[in-house]
Order: sequence, then structure tokens, then C-alpha cells
Amino acid sequence: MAIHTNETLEEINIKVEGDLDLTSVPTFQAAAAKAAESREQRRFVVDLTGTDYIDSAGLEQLLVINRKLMAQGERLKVNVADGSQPQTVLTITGFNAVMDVDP
Amino acid sequence: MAQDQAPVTQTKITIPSRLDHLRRVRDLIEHAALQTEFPEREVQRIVTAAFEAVTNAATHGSPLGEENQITVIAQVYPDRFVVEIHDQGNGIPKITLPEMPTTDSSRGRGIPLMRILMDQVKLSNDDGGRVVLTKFRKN
Repeated sequence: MAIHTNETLEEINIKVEGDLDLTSVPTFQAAAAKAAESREQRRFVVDLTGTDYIDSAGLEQLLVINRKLMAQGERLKVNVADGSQPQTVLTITGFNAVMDVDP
Repeated sequence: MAQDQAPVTQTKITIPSRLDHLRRVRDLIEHAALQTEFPEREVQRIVTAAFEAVTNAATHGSPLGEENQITVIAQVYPDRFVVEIHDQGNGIPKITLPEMPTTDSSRGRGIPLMRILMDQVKLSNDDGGRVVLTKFRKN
């Protein structure tokens, strides 16, 4: 798994390449914490378009980020590939109702 | 539906309960599921459910950590695909199949995911923890 953090004036984007699962969660967690510190008012985006697989441990991390954003009146944006496993899982767990899952 | 027929193919793997072995198991399950000629979307669902069971076995069903073992048996039948996951834990104290928690709750999605993604989920505590996941072929 590789993580790339890309920043613009409008957003901070954590791109996950590979699986976001129990084994890779600590790396993701560290990147997300760092991004949260430097985010300021920018949109928080997690890009899973390069992610083949997310498990319940990975889902939990998305919820943790989203919960912090919601406390500030915002929502996490999650980009997924159409028809991908992350898109399926985010839909059946109802995550797409509390975060902005695209598409 | 004949439940007592022999599997057409069976694949079995036993690994130490270590996180760095789990992806090997996932690859094996995916390889076995691809032999079923299920659509890609169904294979994706089977692998997701089975991997949840395997990670549960590693995190909750291995009281001695890496000294424990996890066994996975993937069986292809003419009418279904079955994945059995055995661990050396105590199983789930009360055999219940929880519903998907709301998004207010961070945890507890493993078994609900299995339930949604598979046609049948059976848990037992006989001789360690055991999860049997079944996906039926729909003609």
C-alpha cells in the first residue's frame, strides 16, 4: 500500500494505492492525522480510486475522520472507482449517506 | 438443494495467525471463487466477506497470537461456493448475527458485512471458532 498526500488551495487529498485493510490502517491513520493537522479550512478528501479493497478496519478509519469533520459542520469526500469494491462496501454500509462518496 | 454432495474442488490452507499472511489467504479465496464462474461482482462480495472472517479469526480468534493457526477451506459445489474459516479461539460467546450498526458506531461491521454479502452465514464454537459462508449459484 502506498499513500500520497496532495495539497491544493482548496483541498487536501490522501490517495490510497493498494488495499486499505487491517494491515495498512496504521500507515493510513498516520497520514490522515498529519493531513488533519495541516488542513486548516480546506476540504478533506480520501481518494480510493486506486484501492482494490477496503475492509471494516479501513471503514472505521473513514468514520473517525468524518466524525471529526462533522463536528466542524463538514463531511468527508471519498472518491471511488465506479463498480469497485470500495464503492460497493461504502454503499451497503450506508456510509454514502453520511459522507460524500463520488461517484 | 443437495447439501450432502461432494465438492467439485476443495482448497485448504493453514497459516499462522499473523497479519502479514492474511493477504495470501485472500488471494487463495479469490482464486477459488473465480473457478465458480460467478460474475466478477459476486466474487468481489465473496472475497470481502471471507476476508472479514479471516481478519476476525486473527484479531479475535487467536488468544495465543502468532502461535495460533487459522485454517481456511474453500469448496466449489455445482450449486454453491462455501468458505469455512476455523480459528483456535473461543468463538463468539453467543451465536448471534448482529445487524449493521449505524454510522454513529465505529466498530462491529465484520459479521454484518458477511451477512449482507453472502447468502448464508453460520457461526459455531465447536473446537475453536468456525464460520461457514455460502453463496448459492443463481440460475
